[in-house]
Amino acid sequence: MARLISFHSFRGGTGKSNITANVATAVAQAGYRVGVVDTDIQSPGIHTIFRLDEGQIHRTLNDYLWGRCAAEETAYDVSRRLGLQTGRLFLVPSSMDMWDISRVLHEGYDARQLRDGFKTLIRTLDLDYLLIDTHPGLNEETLLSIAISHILVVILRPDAQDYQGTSVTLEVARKLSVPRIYLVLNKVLPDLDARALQRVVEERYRTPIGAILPLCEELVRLGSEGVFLLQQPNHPFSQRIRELAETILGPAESPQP
Amino acid sequence: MEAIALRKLLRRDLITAVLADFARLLPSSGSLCLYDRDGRVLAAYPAPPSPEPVEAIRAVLDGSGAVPFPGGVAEPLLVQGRPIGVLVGTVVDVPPLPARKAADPPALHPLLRALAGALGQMATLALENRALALEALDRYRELNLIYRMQTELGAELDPDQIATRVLAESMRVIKATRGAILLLSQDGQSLVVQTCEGLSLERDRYPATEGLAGQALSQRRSFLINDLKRDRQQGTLEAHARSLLFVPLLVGERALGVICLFDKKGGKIFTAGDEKLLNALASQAAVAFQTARQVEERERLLRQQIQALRVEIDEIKKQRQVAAITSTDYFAHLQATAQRMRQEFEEET
Repeated sequence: MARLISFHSFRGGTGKSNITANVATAVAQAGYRVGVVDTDIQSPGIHTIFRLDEGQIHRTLNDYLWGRCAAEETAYDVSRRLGLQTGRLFLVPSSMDMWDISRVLHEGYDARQLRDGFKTLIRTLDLDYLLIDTHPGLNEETLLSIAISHILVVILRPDAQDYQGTSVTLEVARKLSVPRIYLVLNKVLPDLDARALQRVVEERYRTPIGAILPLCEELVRLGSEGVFLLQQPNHPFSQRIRELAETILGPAESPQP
Repeated sequence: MEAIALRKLLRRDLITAVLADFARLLPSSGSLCLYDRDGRVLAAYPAPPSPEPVEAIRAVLDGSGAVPFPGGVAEPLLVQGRPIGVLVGTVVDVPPLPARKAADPPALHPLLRALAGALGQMATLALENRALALEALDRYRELNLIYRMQTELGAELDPDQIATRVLAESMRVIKATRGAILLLSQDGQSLVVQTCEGLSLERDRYPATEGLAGQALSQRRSFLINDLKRDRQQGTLEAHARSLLFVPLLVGERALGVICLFDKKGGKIFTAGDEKLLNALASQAAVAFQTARQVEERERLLRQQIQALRVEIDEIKKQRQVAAITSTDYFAHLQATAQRMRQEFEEET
């Protein structure tokens, strides 16, 4: 039984795509078949983290949404590229083409088409988990992604700008009866008391913390050109990512043979 | 009494005029000369004696009373019973006699004694006037200080700044070597060192009932002790002091803390005047501390109210934003079908 997991943040710049890519890699490393869909069509970018050049991308999510191809044709197996020994990881990128982005901004797309595409991807790629890198804010497509998700991961920074928007997202997600919701605090200064911060945030949002991720210079230096978890597996950030992946997977679940 | 130079008490021209008046009563060959405490000529008529009776002058300044010498007599000029000058009279036609009693010229000595008495009274009056003037100046300075402190502290709302300024001024005007200002903690259980000078007590905390500071606080009275060895009620603060002056910071009946001064400069003792002055300064300081605390408390309450309002505003904003999203037909459809769609995913995959 496949699970849909949406990664969302109300504002941009929270590190959402980086966290999505790293968690996807951690889940794949645990032996699962994982798909990642970049639904941030207005400002795509997760493909760079998986080191997928634009020249290697022939079909994108945009092509599927505009009826140019089947959903499965937009998926790229990046497992070998990442050097994964177990599990499989597929990426469905969005178009980096300016005209395509402009068209989405002007015309939008049919959200139901997106839902059908998710189903097709899960079925044809035999996915255990489909991770959705959503567009910041709460437009129709993002609401759909949240609505059909089994798990919602809301990412925020310890920044007043993120607080109110996050509470809006959580309220909306509750109204959509999303079964499991986690908060991820990203870019937390290392000298902050993580436990105290967790207590305050959980109390304020009445939502469990999935992870508190430290602001780290090494990740900034990597500049989204690679999956940090694979580059520095023993770094505290990578450890927190693996813990987050374990939380998302749940203790009882194990990959099908 | 502090040693005062005769030249500061009596004007030289005035003394010379007095000496000239009295010299007319002497035989034509006589002279009168006034020496100061250092043996220097202050005034003479018509001229200082020659040779100068150095031994006699020294003997008079050492407290020997009138001392005759060949050709004259040296008479002390007393102010408040202490010699501050020597009046020397000489008459050359009086035959010198070896013995003191015989050497006292019958006409010269009474004249000198009368003159010394007159000059002594003039010096005493001058000294008293000077003391009164100094006291008046001290009072003026104290009033000026209190006025200045009132003006300065009235505009200050930082307890640290108030404490630092009050302690510095108190120590300066009372000439204490060390000092501290302790304020009662919010819970009323401790006296906390707000500032100190010459002591390493920053932010130290003592039980509010400990030692003389605790007593000054609870009894709302000042303590002036110039010999602490005799006092058995010592606390940590006063453990190493010889003398102290503790004054409570009172606003009405409410004690906010204590100003503590230790050991005056030059080994001097604290006086009732010091205590009175420190009480006046403490009154000013106490009002300033209370105002600062009230403002601080008001600010805290305002911050709390602002925070509460901000939370309320945020909540209202959030509800509006949520309503804007959830009131659409699209959302209603999503809400109605979300669970079914998730089930479909599970079933189809």
